[in-house]
Amino acid sequence: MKRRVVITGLGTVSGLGLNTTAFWQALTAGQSAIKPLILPIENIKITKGALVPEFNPESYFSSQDLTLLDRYSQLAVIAAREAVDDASLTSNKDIVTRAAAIIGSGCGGKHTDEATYDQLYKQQRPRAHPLTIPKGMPSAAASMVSKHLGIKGPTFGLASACSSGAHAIIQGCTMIQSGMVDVAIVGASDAPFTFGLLKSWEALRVATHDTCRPFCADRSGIVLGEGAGMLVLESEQHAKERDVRIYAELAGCGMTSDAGHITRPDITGIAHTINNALKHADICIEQVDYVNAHGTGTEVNDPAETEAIRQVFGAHANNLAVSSTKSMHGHALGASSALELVATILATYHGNIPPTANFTIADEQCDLDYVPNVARQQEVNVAISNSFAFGGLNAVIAVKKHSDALNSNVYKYI
Amino acid sequence: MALDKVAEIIAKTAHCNVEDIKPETELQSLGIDSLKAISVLFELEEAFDTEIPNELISSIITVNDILDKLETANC
Repeated sequence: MKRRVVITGLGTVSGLGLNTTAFWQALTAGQSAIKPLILPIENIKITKGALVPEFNPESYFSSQDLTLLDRYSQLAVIAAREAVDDASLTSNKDIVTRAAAIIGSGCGGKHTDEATYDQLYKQQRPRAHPLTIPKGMPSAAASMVSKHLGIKGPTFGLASACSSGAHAIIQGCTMIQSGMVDVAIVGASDAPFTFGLLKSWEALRVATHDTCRPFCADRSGIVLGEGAGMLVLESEQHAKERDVRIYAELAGCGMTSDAGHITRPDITGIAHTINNALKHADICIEQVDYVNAHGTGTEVNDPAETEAIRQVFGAHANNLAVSSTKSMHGHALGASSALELVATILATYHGNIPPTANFTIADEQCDLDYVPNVARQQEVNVAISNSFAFGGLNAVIAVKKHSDALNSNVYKYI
Repeated sequence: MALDKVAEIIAKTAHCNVEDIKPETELQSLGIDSLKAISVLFELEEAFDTEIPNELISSIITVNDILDKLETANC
């Protein structure tokens, strides 16, 4: 029998703030971090973004450490530190030392890479900075989380575009279920506001000049965000022995690949992934209360996701609360899937469902209850978080209110 | 003087005190490992607009060795 896995620590850095308290307050207030982009970059047509509020890296890291920390690694370490503290764990102590660290990213250390390319291509400098490789590599954040927290267990980076965080979390969960480790620090980080990446997103013609309005008739595309979401997972037995707060049980997960179009979502693939997650979690469709949708706000995603949810849940789809928190933290690429799982877990823990912000009028093909604009106090016993990445890489994670919290009335008071 | 400029670059790049940097100082004693050493060499190459070839790097032990290499590279 597989070991049960629970979530005991959460950490976030996002457009909504530098910690999870700020993240949750903004989400439940329906506040969006999406703003006009003000960057020291010219010739960019993308006009909106959800940037992490300005912070001084030197208040988190020594100047020597910063020489090796790309912005995406900084965000990863700040969020991982919060998650570890939140789980009542101590960096460099036994439990953390033996833990795994699986850190996803959609784009890796672009700030570092692009600074070097600017030097070489634009400024015609003869040499690259020697720390370009160790600072910019796609596994740099995993190494930096390991180094700064003293994690010496299985550690690696993981990339599956916008599902990177979900896949990293599932990988950590699987390691715990198998008995390989008792504790895993998992999540993802992305910092995509660089000239080359913004121009590349601009070329895809999916970024809106308006704001992110998932499932609405007047939606016009995504808004990029940046941030990191980190979780501490551990076996239920390990958490109980430590007598720590359990946010929820990570009940199951589904993963599929469309083996098809590189950007267009596949309704069958989405439905298959949700079904796999529910089956893996041993959950009936009627038990599900809340779906944190992938909900990008693009023309193609939102009706496809709606149709897939209808196919899986049938008549019960009308009872589901479905919201897209991308309307508030933006599309932080690989980090989005981790941030959204944190939102899903907190919805379960607090009995409070974050809304789909910026909601106007639902698209006629989008006919579910999208919790428009205002958070909803409602008990959530089971919830799923959807992530459907470019490349057809799908991941769905199911969480359950933990039995320790079932008798608690915490959701009534928050 | 080259020493002052070199010492300033070493101190800034390797995060050590400029007062501790003398011609006979060994880089290792300043906490400069191989990764920091290549960062120092990068900054020196940029500052002096020169090239320090890879084959000379293994013979750099002290600050004086750096000054010699820069002199050899005609800067």
